[in-house]
Amino acid sequence: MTEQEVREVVEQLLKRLNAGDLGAPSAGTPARTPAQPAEQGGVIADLEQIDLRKQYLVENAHDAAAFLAMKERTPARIGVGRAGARYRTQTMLRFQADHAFAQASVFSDVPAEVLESLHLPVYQTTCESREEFLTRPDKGRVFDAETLGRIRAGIAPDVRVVLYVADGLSSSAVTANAADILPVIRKGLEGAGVKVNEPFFVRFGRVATMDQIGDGLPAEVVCVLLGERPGLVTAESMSAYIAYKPTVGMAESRRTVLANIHRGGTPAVEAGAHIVDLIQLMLEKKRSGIDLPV
Amino acid sequence: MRLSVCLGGHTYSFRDVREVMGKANEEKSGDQLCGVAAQTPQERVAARIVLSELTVKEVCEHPAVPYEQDEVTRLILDGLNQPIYREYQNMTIGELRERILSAAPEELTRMGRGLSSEVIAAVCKLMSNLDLIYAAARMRVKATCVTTIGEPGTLSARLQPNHPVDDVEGITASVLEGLSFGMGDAVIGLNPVDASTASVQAILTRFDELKRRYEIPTQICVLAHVTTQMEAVRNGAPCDLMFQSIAGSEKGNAAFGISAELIAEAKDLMAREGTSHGPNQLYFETGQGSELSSDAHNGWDQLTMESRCYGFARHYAPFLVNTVVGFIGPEYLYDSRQFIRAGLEDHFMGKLHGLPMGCDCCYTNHMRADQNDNENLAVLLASAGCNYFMGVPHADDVMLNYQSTGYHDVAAVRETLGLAPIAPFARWLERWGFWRDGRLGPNAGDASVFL
Amino acid sequence: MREERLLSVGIDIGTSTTQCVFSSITLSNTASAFSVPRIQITEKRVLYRAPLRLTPLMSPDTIDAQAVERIVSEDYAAAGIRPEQIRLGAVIITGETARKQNARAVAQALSRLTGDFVVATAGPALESILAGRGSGAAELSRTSGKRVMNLDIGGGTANMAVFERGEPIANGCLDIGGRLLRFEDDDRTVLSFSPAMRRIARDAGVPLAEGTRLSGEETDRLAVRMAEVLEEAAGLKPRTPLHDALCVEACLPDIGPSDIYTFSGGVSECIYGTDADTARFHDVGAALGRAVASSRFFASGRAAQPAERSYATVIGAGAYSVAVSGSTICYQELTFPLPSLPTGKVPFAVPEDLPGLEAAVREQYRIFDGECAICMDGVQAPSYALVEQAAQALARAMAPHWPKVVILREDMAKALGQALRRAWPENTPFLCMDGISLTYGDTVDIGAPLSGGRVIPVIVKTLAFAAGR
Repeated sequence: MTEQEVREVVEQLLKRLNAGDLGAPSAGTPARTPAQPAEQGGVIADLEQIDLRKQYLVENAHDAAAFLAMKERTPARIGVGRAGARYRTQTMLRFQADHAFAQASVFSDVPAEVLESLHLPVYQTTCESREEFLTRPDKGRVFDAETLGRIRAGIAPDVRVVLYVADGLSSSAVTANAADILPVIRKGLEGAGVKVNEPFFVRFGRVATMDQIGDGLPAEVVCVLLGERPGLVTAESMSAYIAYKPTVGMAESRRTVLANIHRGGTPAVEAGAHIVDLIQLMLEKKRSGIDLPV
Repeated sequence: MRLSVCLGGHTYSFRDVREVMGKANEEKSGDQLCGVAAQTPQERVAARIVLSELTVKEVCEHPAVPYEQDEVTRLILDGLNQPIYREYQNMTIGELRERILSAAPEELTRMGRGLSSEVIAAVCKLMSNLDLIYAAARMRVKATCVTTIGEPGTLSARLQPNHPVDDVEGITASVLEGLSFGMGDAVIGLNPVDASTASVQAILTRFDELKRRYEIPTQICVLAHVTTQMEAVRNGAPCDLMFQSIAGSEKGNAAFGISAELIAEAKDLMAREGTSHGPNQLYFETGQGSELSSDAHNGWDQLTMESRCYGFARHYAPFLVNTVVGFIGPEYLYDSRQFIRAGLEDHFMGKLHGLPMGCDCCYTNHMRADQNDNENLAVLLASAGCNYFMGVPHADDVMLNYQSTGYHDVAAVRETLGLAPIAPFARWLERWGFWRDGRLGPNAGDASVFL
Repeated sequence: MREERLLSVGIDIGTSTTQCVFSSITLSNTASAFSVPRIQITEKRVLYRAPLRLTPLMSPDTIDAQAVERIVSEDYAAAGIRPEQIRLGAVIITGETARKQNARAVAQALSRLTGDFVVATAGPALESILAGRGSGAAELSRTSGKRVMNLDIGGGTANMAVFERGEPIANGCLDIGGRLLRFEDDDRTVLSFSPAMRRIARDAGVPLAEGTRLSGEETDRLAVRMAEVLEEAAGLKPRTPLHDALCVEACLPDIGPSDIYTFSGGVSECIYGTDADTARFHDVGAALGRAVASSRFFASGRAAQPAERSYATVIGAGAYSVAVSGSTICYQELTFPLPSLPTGKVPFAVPEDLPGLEAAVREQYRIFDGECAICMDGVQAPSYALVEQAAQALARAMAPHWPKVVILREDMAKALGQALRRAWPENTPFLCMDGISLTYGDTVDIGAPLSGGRVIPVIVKTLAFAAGR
């Protein structure tokens, strides 16, 4: 088609449909935020759904629009106004809600039904409790001999990439992302002819569990997906740590890290697809971390 | 040296000063991780009894790392004023505690010059929380970079406008709002994500532009590694204050990529090329547990190692020193009780070292703590005469992912305790309507007045 | 790599002048450490602006292609830049010139000088937006938080774009320009005038004929009427039939007044008095400039001077026409560039749209004779199952067609692309990219991958006539 023909086609279509944009969400699209004003007997709107970047609560501001334009460039909680020298009620409650979600993600387990639905066998490091996991990083890096034996027995000798999930510092990150990121990585690698193990889950697990798991295995690459220490912006952020032939006591710089995997950062499926490419690059170059040119 | 004590019919014996010092501490998860903590509350008190009977000399002569092996030890011991040290050397730590609690401010200033970091740590272990507040409140330490902080009746703030990707416009937005709440009289200081010299220079340049455009009486700083800042300064970047994280042993400093020689070089560079007149042109941050995390603690407890940071710092006459008390995580300070205690300890020890101490009252989301605990610590430290706090938008640092004191928190502590920003800064705030009659002014919180 | 600097050229062949500007465009990874890269354009800087030249014409209907190429070659030499250094480029043939018979051929002839990328001829909608971006009006709307309207008044047309928060919300074009009425040298004797000028003169009650001499008052009356039509378009005065008659293709939507007005284009130098020698063009431009300067635009106190004036469109073309895709994309076996692809937009923004996806894609191929890019908003943070099912639907509907190009707004192109790769026979050429927001009917020029193959540069040639983009 020539440019002119395209133009004519489009003009006709637009006229016929009397609509500015065929690409607008189709009819019957549910609203993404069921945020209704609080009414008697109704449900109070979800504070967590407010986009903080667009919120501006300064009263009688000299130039609200100009400040909002600046505020768009940062996720910092500014333009929040004040009550005397204190926070306004809404922002204080939002802060408390964000902290509550963050702490819940640290101090709670991944629900058993989530792990079951993902068919992930569960192994535990030498930590006995979450408190021990938080205060004894050394114990969260290792398994006892029996557990390690069971993990390794579950990895077939022709597996080239070992993939597993650990709770780390956020169970919410696992709940929110594992179901979408795991199949993308497995399908992506298997589609390229790279064999992956049946993924499993490590409770009370830190990054360095991958060292003990990978040390001495014939598999080439180990990839652990684990919950990051939550901030107030999100409690659901996951990181991937990937290493070529990890060994116990290796330098941290040999790990390739991909952080910020969550709805508002890199979505799980995209992160998974990126990890597929990263792992293929590692298999080709036979290295990882700062030695891997990306 | 007596290292055994009978308490309640049970005899407690300790191998050496190191074991006494470790076990005399208030409960901290980091000391437990390290294996130096008391096993029971009774053993803790027993260790304190033994410690109270040790003399200043005995503690001073048992540095945490041997003199021959460690340049931090050498700086601490070689820097002591010998006549003052001799006055106190035969006093027990228990007597020293009482002397500190009853001394006049001038004597405290003088005394500190003759006390080693281990001695100051030892006496700190015998102090209750209120002791730490009561003693510190009488130790005012002033310092001058562009402006002078630490005057009685003032509480200053570092304006901390951190951004997840160092977007200069986004950083500027946070700076302007912080200024409108009266933050920034200690420093406008950013923790950068991008550690490149170019990025550090770009941010310093923006801070300098803001400072000039609005004629702000303060100092600016970008908290990159000291070598990066030095390169930026040599490239001509404006820099009032040079930052570095420090540790309490040579090995710990090596893990931070620094040495005594490097810091001396930085100090010298700032004297020649810094955009402030000084004499105080350095900024140090510390925090209990950092030596253990880099296996540089030599088997000593985290409080003593923290004290040695201050012994190292005072050699360089810094403008700002603060502990980032709750940033390191629950394996070192588990909950609010532990980080509140640590904040009070660090402030007291820094002040007795003669340092212009501030504090980053803060906590991470994997600690058992919340903003109420943080507010408690801020009020306690302000009562203790802490020089400055951090001012972070709504207390949420979106780059470092931890919570500190917010613009509103510092402002409210000032109003509640009758404290003010330093005088030239307060006058500047009054001109903009951000501060009036000892409280926030009508324009406070509305940064759009700058636009 | 954190930063990569590319040379870009913009060439604007306009009604009265031809301009050439060289810019550098910086691509940087703006993601924080240990994140998926996010390559973005972080800086656009003009390196060299060649002097303005009169557009060479062979006849009133034909551009002198050889002369244009000679001019541009001289500009390269003066700038000290060789054509092979250029990575991005755009030729924009603007205003009335675009209606010349050989416009497209001229652009093609210049492709040797504009790198292995894209040759674009613009419509008024794109010209308006590029001028608004190049002048700095778009940026002003972002930094000020105000609604800013830029009026780019050239020889043949006035291109108008309204910006909020840095983005265009409306655009339009009027048959108003400095060269609609030309005079003999040093005189007010009418040499020639356009059909649009005839309408204006009739409306203003000024008799107009070639060879007759206008009085100063008559010239001013014409200019004032032209300025009024601009005010009408800008929401400062009720619209008259003359306004509607002068609209080119589509009127600017009547969205009320803007907070700030900026002027660019050749006539703007007469408005701001920034060019001392405006008489040299011997046309109505100087009078039009004076009329605008004493119009409601300035009386209302809303007029501001933009950063760029005469060069606004060409700077827009060289530095602002290119967007880059998201940095997680998927492509294979394609030869770039892919010029002038129409885009068929299908509704796929929420999971509920999935059942209709396959049929919607087939419908677009039918409309565009089997050759178009398939574009859609995409789903924010989609599930794995949704990506798989969408890939199956797309794979079936797109199988018989070439080229296979999918363009999304939401960040999901790499996952979708990998699923498509599995769904099609091995080595099937295709491109699946995101981070580009399109409106129905936009045409895209797709360039060769940049930044180590991580991003794709795209010029979106909008056909949007209306507000609400």
